[in-house]
Amino acid sequence: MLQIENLHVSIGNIKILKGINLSVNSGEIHAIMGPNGSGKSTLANVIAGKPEYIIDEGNISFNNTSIDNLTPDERANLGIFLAFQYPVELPGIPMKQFIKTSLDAKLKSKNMKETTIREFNEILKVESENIGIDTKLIKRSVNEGFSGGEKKRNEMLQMALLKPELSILDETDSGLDIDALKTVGQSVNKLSTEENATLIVTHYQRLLNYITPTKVHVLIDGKISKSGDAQLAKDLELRGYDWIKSLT
Amino acid sequence: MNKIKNHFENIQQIKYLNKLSGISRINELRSNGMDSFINSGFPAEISNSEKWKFSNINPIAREKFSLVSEIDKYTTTSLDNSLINHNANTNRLVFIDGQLDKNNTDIGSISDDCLISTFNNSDSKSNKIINNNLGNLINIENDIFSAINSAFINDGLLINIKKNTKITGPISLLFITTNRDKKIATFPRVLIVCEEGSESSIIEGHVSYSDQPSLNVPVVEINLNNRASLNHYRYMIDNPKGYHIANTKVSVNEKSHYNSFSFSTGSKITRNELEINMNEKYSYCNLNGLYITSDKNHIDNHININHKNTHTKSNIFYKGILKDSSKAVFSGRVLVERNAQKTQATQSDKNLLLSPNVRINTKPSLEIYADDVQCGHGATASYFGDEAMFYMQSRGIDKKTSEQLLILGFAEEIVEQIPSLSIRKFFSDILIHRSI
Amino acid sequence: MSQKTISRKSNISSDYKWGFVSDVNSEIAPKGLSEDIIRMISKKKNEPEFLLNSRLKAYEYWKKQKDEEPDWAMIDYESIDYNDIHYYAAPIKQPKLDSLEDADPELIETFNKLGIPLEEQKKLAGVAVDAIFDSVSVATTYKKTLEDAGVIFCSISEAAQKHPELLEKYYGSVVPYSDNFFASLNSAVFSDGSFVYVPKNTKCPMELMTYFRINAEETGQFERTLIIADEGSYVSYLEGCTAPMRKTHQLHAAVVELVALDNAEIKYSTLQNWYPGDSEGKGGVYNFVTKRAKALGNNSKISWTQVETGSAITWKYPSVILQGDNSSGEFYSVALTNNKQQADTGTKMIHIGKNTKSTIVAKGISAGNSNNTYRGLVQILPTAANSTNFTQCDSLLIGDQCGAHTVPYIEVRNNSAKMEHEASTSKVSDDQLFYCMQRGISEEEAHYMIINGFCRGIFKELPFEFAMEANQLLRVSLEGAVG
Repeated sequence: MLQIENLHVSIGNIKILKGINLSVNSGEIHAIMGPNGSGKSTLANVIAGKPEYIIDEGNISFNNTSIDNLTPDERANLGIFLAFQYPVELPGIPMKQFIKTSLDAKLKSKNMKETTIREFNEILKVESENIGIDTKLIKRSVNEGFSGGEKKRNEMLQMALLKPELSILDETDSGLDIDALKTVGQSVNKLSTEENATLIVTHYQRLLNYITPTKVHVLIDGKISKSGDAQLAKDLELRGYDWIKSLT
Repeated sequence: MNKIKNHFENIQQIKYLNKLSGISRINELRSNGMDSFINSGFPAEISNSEKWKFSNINPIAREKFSLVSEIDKYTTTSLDNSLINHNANTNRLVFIDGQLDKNNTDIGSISDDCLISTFNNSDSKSNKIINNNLGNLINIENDIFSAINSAFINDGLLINIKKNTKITGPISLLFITTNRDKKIATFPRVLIVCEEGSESSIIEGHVSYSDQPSLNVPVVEINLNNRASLNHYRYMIDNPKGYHIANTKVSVNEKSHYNSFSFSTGSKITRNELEINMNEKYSYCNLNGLYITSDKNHIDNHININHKNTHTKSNIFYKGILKDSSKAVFSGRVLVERNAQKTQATQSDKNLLLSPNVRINTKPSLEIYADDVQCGHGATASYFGDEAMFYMQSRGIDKKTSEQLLILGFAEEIVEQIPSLSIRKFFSDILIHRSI
Repeated sequence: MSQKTISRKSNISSDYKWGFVSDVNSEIAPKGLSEDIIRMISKKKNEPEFLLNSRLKAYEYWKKQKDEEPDWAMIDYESIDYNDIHYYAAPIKQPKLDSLEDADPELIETFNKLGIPLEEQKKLAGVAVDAIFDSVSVATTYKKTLEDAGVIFCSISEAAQKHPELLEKYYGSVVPYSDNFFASLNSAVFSDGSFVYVPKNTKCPMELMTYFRINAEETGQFERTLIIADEGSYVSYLEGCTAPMRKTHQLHAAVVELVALDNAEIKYSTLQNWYPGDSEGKGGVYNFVTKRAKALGNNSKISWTQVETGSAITWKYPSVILQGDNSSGEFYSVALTNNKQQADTGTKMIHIGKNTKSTIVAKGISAGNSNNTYRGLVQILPTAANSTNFTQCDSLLIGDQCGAHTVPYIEVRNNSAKMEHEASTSKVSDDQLFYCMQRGISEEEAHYMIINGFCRGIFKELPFEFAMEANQLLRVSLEGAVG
């Protein structure tokens, strides 16, 4: 589904990714782990098409088509979803309007009929309850004045509604209490099917207590230093990133 | 010439005005300044303009001042030594009624790192710097006070900080107006040129012992070359009858850094004009100010910042404490030119109104022609929050003490911006002395 | 290889969809201004003596300061030749109407094109409309219901005939003829406008609305509006403005006066969409308007809400004089400029009474080559004990060829008062755009959404129908500037 070949990325004049190769298939959950500054978040953002990142070399394809020249909204409508590490506040834009616009954009791109307000309210209600997001938040502007945990739940809510093919979770676990962490784990497991895939970008192993990854990759200094199965994450937790560095 | 005689009574007796200075730029400025003054006259006629909207300077135009040529009549014993000697280790230059006072001046320890010279005493090297820089930042045609100052340039001061030198400890300039039996006018002029990569601190103090409505019109021009940094501390303490109209013009260049702290206690009319030109990329200025007014003082802080290049950053943070029947004006204008993308500019003016009869006019404005900018301003005016007062009193502190503590707390936010501990203490002492 | 970056298109002027010209025969006074013209206008309207005298005094005053057209605003225009303007234009079939059926069908058609709710279906919506067409009030709907409630809603000419005592008492009491250059001109030549009187303890049963339209070429439009809310009453008044596309500039110098007595409240909303001129800055309306309210009574309240997207030049500062104790004033504004438009707009809040309160929320959006200035005055006088002001001004820049300026004047002369002012200027943030686009929303749509969010606090203050229209107006006015 997602194919990354020899990807080199820089921002300004700073090289961040230095030759990433990664292949994610339907039905898989991959975890990208690594110390601070290793380029994890850059990888997440560059797949979603954040404009300030420059691809110097290599390419990214999604379902066998290159997406390097697509705008972020085009990628999103292909089914790529990024759960942001720091979801931005959108003052004055009501949650409902935002989520409906986003859902309708996706339906429209697939030549499907937009939801009616009644249909939308119904699915929003169901998913909000599943995620455990306070209905008061639904009446507010997007992320405005939300706590860290509320912002992350909001990302999970949008993920559940948009049903992406590829979900990328950029450090979604950081700063979360144990209940919120559980919600994130449940959301991912619930959504996960044979037709879609998930990429979890994280510093710690703890989210992986709730989600069992198919593969784990360790990113150090812009390169994948080691790949393995779920056991690798557990080893890392015990031995730290220095262990990987000492191997290379 | 009559126009000048209307305002300055003993002009014929001032010999230096008829003498040609050895520096061509000074002759030029004197003559241009005089022409401009003769053409436009005193500000009485421009007091309707936006620039002078909140400060009526007609009282100055109605006075008749004396110029000073000698300093023999003063006695140093009458001066407050604590101000002159506030820091024994400080390099200092003392000017009495516009002339250098050699007895109190001591710059021995820094003469290797910088060039300090009065205009009357300058060598060919200094002359060259003066010829190249003096008057470049002022606008004689449109600013009448810069014009008068230029017309009367006499014993000005040049400070040239050498390339890549770091001067530890501040250079202190003290301009004293003595008490005489007449109203005198003084026109201090300072040119500061900081060469590339230099670091220095300058304290500029204006203290008046006069009980007459004397006039002090300082003009300070500062040129910061690339990567130079300057901390400029400025204070003025005048009498309630005095007039203080100051002009500070600064040119900030690539990666250079201008940090200013201004402390004013006001007088009958005090006007501090500060103009910063952010000429080159990555230039930065940080302007902090505190004004404390009492009696019938009038104080006007008039600040212009011009962002002319990309990635420039400015910050204005002023606070006012207004007592009795005093009046304060804050006018801050930040201009971001079309090509000055990535500019960041903040501006804040907060006022504490301690008496029912005070008046504040504040006008923090923005003029922005580039889109990729982050600019903002804020202003407040009020008495303390009732909660703060109540909280203090509920802890058994009486109203007066509570008020004093809260005033100092209010001022502290500005004072703590001063990087040097000893200078911070110096200003804290004046503050405690003046505000309670 | 670089990823596709988010870019902005250059400006393409959007079509001004309100730019049609109505084919109505008009009666037009010769160009130029003289005492005779003023007498003629007054006579046409069969005005009482005091109005004619007031006009003549205003004209004398205006003549004296003729060379002192205000120049302090950040606007730039070629000087206006006041002798090259028609000061009176009226549709020939001067309608004396109680019902619309009597009106010129062309007019009705015009109003239909404007989407003005003159028609029956709109009557159901409960809006009473007075339409001013080239300075003359042509139709006032829903008169009967209002009459039953005791509310007077008519043209100011009609008020001069039927309610001269009210007019004489309040006309010019908020904006005297000597107030400013354009107010003097208006006081000399004003043609028509709306008059509203809401009696004591009456809540006006519906929202009142006036639609203004300039049609004739080279005609100045000088309306005069006066609204009086008597003790304990409430009225919400809406005004909409459009003008045809003309190559030359049209002058609009209106005066609006509001008076609220004890415990009364007036809510005044404006949707201003005068023709802004083309992308080269040709044509468009010069909108030099004086709007002022007096919160005269204790506990009275005035609220101005404006959405300004039109006019080549906007020069207006809807103000509140907070005279009564505990009175309050609000100003909510969205001003959008695109292409070569220039706006210098804001408010004045003058606190005189005790415990008075003012709130200012101003949002400016600049696009294209336009310049947009917020200019506001907050004045807390020594008598205004315990008064508060809160001001928030935000500017948004779209594109790198426009300007956004903020010029607040604040004067506090009472130390029991509390004043707070905040302002910010920035562009739409890249992070916000990326977030929206990551959710599948196109760049253009994301821009509209974010800009709309920026204005939301103001739109919320508008009556529902107007809010929808404002939203639409913003989008049309920004077409080509974003995305």
